[in-house]
Amino acid sequence: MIRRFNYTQRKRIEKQRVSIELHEPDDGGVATFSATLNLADLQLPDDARLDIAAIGGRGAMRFAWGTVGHPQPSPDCRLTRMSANPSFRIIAQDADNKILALANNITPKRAAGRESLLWLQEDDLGQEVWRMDFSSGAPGRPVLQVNSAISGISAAMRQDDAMRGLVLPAALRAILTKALIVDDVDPTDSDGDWSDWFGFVGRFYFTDYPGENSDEQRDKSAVIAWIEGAVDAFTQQRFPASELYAKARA
Amino acid sequence: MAEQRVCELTDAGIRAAKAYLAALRRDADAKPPAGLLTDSRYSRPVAPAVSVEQRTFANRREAGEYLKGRLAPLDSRLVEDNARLWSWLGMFYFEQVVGRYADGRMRIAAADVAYVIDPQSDRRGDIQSHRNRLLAAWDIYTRHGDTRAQGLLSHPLSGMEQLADRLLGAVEAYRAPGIMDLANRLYTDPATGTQKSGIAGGGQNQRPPGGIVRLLDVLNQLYMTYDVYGMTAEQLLPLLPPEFERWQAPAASIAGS
Repeated sequence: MIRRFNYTQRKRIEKQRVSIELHEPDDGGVATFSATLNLADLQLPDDARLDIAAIGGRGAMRFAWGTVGHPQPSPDCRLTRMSANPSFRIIAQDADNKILALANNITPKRAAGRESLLWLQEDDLGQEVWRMDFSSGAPGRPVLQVNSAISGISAAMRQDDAMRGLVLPAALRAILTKALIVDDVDPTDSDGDWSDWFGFVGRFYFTDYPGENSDEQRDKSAVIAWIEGAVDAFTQQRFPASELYAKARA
Repeated sequence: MAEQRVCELTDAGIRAAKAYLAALRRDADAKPPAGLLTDSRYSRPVAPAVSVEQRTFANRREAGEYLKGRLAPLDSRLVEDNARLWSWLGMFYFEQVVGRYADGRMRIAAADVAYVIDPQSDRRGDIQSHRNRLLAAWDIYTRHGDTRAQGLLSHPLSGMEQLADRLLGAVEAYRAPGIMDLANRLYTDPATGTQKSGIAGGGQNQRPPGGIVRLLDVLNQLYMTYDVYGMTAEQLLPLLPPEFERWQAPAASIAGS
């Protein structure tokens, strides 16, 4: 498990203090965003400068946002030359550019919709139907890529339970494996990159994480068993095979 | 010179182009597959229609400027991510992007991605598409231009020197205008507009004092305290350790030090 120590004096801006909403472009235009920051009680100087950085793909943009005492949204919040799934960073800094407080990897909410945990993206996948992509989005924000050559596949992935039942349990298994085995994150870290995913799993799977409430050593086999339990619970609740089979025969 | 409509390589086109590169490494006289750039088995036109013509590019600047103009009608986000488009262009301009030995023989880069980006493998995980010669030229020119990338843009199109490779590979630094401006000031000879020598050392793993590898290391360390990705070159320069002082001098002084 990766443990982090803060040797600097900078503070963490918790994710719940930040709300960013992404406004989708119309007819191929440019997306924009709006942000609400609650930095009260962080004991930052009123004159600390605020910046919002948007990061996506190989693009990045900066937006001056006034000061901690007087937040002032940027007059132009257009996200040009940016991937469709940007993440955001909030930086409070002093006059010498020293970082006083920071929030990393803030995922925006989509306007008129709820925040998406799993991005869906059509891409050129050759002969593969779907694939998990952990590199193009922010940490903790995997992208489910589907083959753009298959007409209607995005709609099927959103609406067709048979398709979703085949793909999403396997996708969840890949996501939890990436978080817990590859990245070796602490699932109890409520402010970590993958915290939203563990919150999601906690809605349907109630088994303690290995080592969470005891001194037992975490080993990979116990972690894998926990992941399989979570996927099983997810499938039972959302996509039981017996129902899918009955629908397919109807 | 005749204009040709810009296309993307199909799966078969990508395979054929990579097979051609493999053949060239064995036999300098190997010929590209007939119809690679025009036959519908190998290529399909992009929309909206844009065209290019054969021409000679002295450096990245000329290629970047030309392609920026020609590809302007296309959505820049889609251009950047379109491996098949860059692969078609890589084959169309192959004579421009391939290196040459002193005796005129082709010097084929070890990795196909220099000319052909395979959408099935090069975009997974560790993305190396920044090593594509034409994509790199277009991206540096459109994103940073001469004001922040004079030295990079003056480099011949056919190579991928360590300065470009390191900077384009360090995505967060490459995105930051202040860091690109800083690198340009440190490593570009103001008299000639070309890169100073000795920036990267002699080998892939060398870290000469004040060189590009050290600069990226130092910026990573500074980010623990400073908002380096949002700072200007003027703000960053005083934070650099003394090893970088020699690079702030004109190239002639460095050579004599």
